[in-house]
Amino acid sequence: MKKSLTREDFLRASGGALASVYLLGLAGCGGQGTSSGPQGGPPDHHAFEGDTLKLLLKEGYEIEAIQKYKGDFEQATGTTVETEVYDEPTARQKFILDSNSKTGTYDITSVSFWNLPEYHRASYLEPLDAWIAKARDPWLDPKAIPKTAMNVMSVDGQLYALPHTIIGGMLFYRKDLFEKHGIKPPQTTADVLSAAKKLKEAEPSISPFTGRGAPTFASLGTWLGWTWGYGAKLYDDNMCPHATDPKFVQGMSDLLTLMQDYGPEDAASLTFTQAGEKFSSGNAAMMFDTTGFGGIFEDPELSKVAGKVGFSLPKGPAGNPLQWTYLEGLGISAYSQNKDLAWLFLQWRMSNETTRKEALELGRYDVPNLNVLHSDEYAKLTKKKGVSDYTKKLPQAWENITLEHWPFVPEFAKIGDTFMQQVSSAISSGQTAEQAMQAVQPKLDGISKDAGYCK
Amino acid sequence: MRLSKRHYLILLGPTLLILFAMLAFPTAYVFSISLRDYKLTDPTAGNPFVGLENYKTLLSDPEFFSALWRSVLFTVGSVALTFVVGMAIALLLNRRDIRGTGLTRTAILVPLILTPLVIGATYRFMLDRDNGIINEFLALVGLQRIPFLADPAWAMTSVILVDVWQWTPFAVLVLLAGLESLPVGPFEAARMDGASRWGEFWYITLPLLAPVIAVVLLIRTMDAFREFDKIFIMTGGGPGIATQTLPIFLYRSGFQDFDMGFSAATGVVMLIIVTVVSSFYVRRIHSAGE
Repeated sequence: MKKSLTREDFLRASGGALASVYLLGLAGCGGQGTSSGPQGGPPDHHAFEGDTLKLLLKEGYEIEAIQKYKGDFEQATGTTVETEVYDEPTARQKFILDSNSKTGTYDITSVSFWNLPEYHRASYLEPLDAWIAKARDPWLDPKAIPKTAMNVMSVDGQLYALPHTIIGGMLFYRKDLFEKHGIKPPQTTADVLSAAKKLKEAEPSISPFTGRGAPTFASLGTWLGWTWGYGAKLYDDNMCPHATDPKFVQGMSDLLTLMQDYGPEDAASLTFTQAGEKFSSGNAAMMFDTTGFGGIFEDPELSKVAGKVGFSLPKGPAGNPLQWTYLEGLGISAYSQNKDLAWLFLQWRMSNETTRKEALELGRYDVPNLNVLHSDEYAKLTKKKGVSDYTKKLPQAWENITLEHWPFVPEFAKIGDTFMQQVSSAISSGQTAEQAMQAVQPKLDGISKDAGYCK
Repeated sequence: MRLSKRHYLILLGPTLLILFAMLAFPTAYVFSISLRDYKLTDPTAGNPFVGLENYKTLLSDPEFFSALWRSVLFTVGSVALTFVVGMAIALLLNRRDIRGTGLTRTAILVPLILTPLVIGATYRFMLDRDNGIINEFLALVGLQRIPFLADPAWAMTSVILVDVWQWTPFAVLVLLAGLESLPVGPFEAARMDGASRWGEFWYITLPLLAPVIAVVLLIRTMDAFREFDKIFIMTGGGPGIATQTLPIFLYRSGFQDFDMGFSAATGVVMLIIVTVVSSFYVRRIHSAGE
């Protein structure tokens, strides 16, 4: 017999439903994100069918693989991957604002290693060690990712981003011009200076040297990595700045000379793309920057000097190899509602399949997957493309990577901007290294003091 | 029917409410943030109340004063040039004996309808030392290439000139409207008395046009003082800090260092400066009107 609902039945039922919704809401609001957290065993690829993953990415060649192959992941999991791509400062701003509002708009974000301390202090990222230990998919082989990269992407022993980019310092030079004028490939900073001097006389139509001089933190790596070759560090272990330290000033002086006397006229405003463009267009004979440029300079579609580039890992007077440390990876937002799926995506991103296609099809020779880099296919490809000189130097450049000279603190961007504003001014005004470092020292002291360092 | 105070209140009420929501509340909120040590990337610190500490830090920061000086330089340079060039073009377009003024009036609006971001990016490429069209032209006629955006003096000059390029049409439009509305009588009388063209301009046109000129200067000053987009895209405040004006200084502390307390204090100080300068202009407009 059918029973009709009374008003009381209806109120009871709807009240219960409302209470359930309320409790569910409370559960949703409690803590950071609502993912089940790392559970035992690898996740089922089809457990998330119909879900959508939102990625906040920093622009660059490193994300090409995601954009090109994300369809593979969507097919394998029945999910949808949405990407938003921005320049680095904008991506950082969006992630910080999103994390502060705790909305969890983005499940995954690009993470530059220099932002890690800042994100760690604010607890914006999900630690990944437990996920690796408890919920690893066969897609991921952690041993295939160089250990240096995993270490750099960790804070206090906890991994916060799965690295997809490892970059070290490298000197690129025009081997055709060096051979033409009988100049030996530079092995030391002194060789670089001496080659610049000879090239200025022998090839007056091009700049002997180029590098980053723009007044932004993104240029800092060039200068701190160069001075590391002189055994100098801008900061000591207590984060006290030592810009006027004689060794540091000496290193700064040599690089400043290269930029002022042997660099392009607009050296004070060169960002990494502009500095790279000087070299790839044939307007500069040497460039000190990241290993990431190697593949670009040897690509005939992107570079006028492809096939004419030499690669060197020079050392400074102290015997330290010059550095340009940069690592980037993907991290999971602490406020993501899809952490399990996000973790699956991270593993797919670094899987042998994806990185293999990235290297072989997209021509990304510095993909940090040792399984791919040690494969015969990769060796054949680099030989065929004529980039073996470059790829042979890569492992050494990666081994050289250190963070000893790096201000790995949340105030990095402020330090970088302040320091580089002074350097950029010095390049354009002809100020000496001594004058520039004396001017910047009190500013760096102020930053350290405000942050509570250097007590 | 004479309207009572109540009627006025009823009629103005909704507008006042919207104005309060859109202006007064955000301003008060910014002021309240400026009294706190509020760093967005340090949520554990708890944003404690620090009174006027942010203002003290700001007013003892030499970079703030150098940014203020650059803002003044940019504003004075841009407003003065915009006015002079705008007035010259407006006077030309106001003449009936020149052909093609109708088409020119339309064409001159193009810079105004472009977004500052597009203008900044376009000029950054045009002024590039190696590949920019302007340097290509200089090289073509045998002149030295100029690092327009990498030399401190050229960088400031370049951003001022680009701002003038964008905003001159605005000055032309307003001044031309003013010129066209001037009474004919005083000019005819002056001509009968044998006044020269220059005398006519100096003793009749300029005084009669004073309220319109004040409006142009007021709007342009406020706008130039807070100019951000074009400078940021073209130079990022560089080389060094050669083009770091107050808005870029504020942006850096707010959206790079995420020091909300300090940047709010900078915003409040900027607001005070703009209000003081604007009051001066507004008084001039009133006195000219009377």
